[in-house]
Amino acid sequence: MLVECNNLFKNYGGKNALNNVSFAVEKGKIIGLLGPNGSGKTTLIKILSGLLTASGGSITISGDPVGIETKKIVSYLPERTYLSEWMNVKQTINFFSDFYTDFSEETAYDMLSRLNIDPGEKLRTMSKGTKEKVQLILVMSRKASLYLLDEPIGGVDPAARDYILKTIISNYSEDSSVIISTHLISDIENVLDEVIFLKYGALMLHMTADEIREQHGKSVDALFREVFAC
Amino acid sequence: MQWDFNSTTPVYVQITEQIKLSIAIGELKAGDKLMSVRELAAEAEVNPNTMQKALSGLEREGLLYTHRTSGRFVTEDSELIARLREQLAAEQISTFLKNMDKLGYTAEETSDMLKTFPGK
Amino acid sequence: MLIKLLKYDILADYKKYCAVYIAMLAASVMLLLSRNMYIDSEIFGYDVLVDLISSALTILSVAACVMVLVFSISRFYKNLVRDEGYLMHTLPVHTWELLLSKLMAVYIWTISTVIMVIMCIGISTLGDVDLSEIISDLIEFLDFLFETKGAMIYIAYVILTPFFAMSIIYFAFALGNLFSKNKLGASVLMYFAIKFAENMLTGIVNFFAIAAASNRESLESLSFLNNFVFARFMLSVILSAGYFIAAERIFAKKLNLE
Repeated sequence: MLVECNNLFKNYGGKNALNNVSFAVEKGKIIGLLGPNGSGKTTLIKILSGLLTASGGSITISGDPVGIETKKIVSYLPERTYLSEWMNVKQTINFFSDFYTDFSEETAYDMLSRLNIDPGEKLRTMSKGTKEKVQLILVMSRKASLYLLDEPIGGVDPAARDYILKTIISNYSEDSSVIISTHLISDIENVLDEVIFLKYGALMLHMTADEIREQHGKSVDALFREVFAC
Repeated sequence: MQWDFNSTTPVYVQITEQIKLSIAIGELKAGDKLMSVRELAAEAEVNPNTMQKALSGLEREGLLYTHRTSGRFVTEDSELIARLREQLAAEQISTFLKNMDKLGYTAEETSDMLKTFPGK
Repeated sequence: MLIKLLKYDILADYKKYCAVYIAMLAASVMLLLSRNMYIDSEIFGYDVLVDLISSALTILSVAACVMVLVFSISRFYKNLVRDEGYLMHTLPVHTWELLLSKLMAVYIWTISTVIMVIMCIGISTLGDVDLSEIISDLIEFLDFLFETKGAMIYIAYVILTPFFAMSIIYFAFALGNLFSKNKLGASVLMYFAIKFAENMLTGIVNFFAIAAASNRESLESLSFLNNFVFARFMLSVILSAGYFIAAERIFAKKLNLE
């Protein structure tokens, strides 16, 4: 198993952001982490990336507890822009190359040229959308074991959305898994192997996308709307 | 290839059907080489595992075969392709008849209507 | 990894520092030129000018120190507490490396700024003072320091001052980070709270030190003074090390980015 979470809890000022969450992720899977806002998606991803420490339970990635060893093999895309304004694109590439041994500069420059982003351009002068693309390129240019993508398609135009999906697909490897959190399910559901539904910090459902269609005769999106109907 | 998916049937089933159709209508010809799983998945915007599952199924049916080094090809067995075409045609007819039945036409009435159908 | 972190900490700010250094050099050259214009004349206002120059140099030195402080705090805040923290805290590096790299950068900028200030003073007083005299004075002073028992403490104090100043700021940011809202405001508040607690503590140490001195004579003796300074120094070392370690633990275990 690539990821194993057992009885995970996270308390935030008296509230349970995660409530007894257990699941496992195999290698070579693309998993949708789905739930409404405030359901604990980001909290779970932050714990996996090492930004937050769980209040209880255990979590291992490739057999190791979250720490330096897992940070070497986890590639994390947060839902905000985290690149330094003083850098240009080339410097961000050097930065990733310096800190991540699995980073491929070649892949990064290739993706940049396909999106017509100038490596000399300063982050300071970029639009938010372009910055997000640069971040995605950096994150996907690593040969990581686990990719954690927090809302990668929220707020991007349809062309960029298609590009992101194609990037995720063509980057697919049998040795790595991708966890994508989103609330835009219909956009990505054909790309998913498995889905995890979170509600109020608890795991509601963990199934393959095929099982959902075979057993429920409806799309993941339709099932989601049913489960989370107000 | 043009891909079009509905949202209720498992995606691998739909991929299987659409590739079968492509073979039957000759869009994919006997002996044609297919793109890699990853390329096909990217083109169709589906999960590579799902694409793999569909292609493996088609291989089991003999419609595709894998050459260990050079890739995946459409079968050169023209008889098999002909049978596939008939099978798909039979499916279309049976769906059609079922729908006509729902509208209250008997098989004979339907047959007569077909013969005089203006667009024919 | 520490060296790589340091590389980017230096790269992030070097342009700002260079700009200020160039401005400083330009200012001191201008001071030098304006002084030389009047140097041989008995024009009214010459004394005023010399006063102005010396106060300008004092301001320059103070401003340079404030600059290092402001740039260093802003770098720490932007890079580790705000959005960039999402990248920094997911790098495969230890949290102590993140903090130590910031501290090392502070040292590098402090040293280079001190050198710049000395150079500026040298330039603007060029021709006025005898360089060999200054050097011999300096050697004499150093001799005195090394011969005097306990003088090493003062040197250590000077060397560790940036560490003392920054560790408390790092700790304040770490505590501020624990608040769910208004983290920056909370950090500032925490800073004053820690500073207040520290003053209380040193006040108590002072009280006991004076109480321990049996009479006025021993109070004024050099050995008492040395011991007293040593005690205060050790207190600062222990407190600052404590702040640094506490900040490291909080950032490692209780990180709570917005």
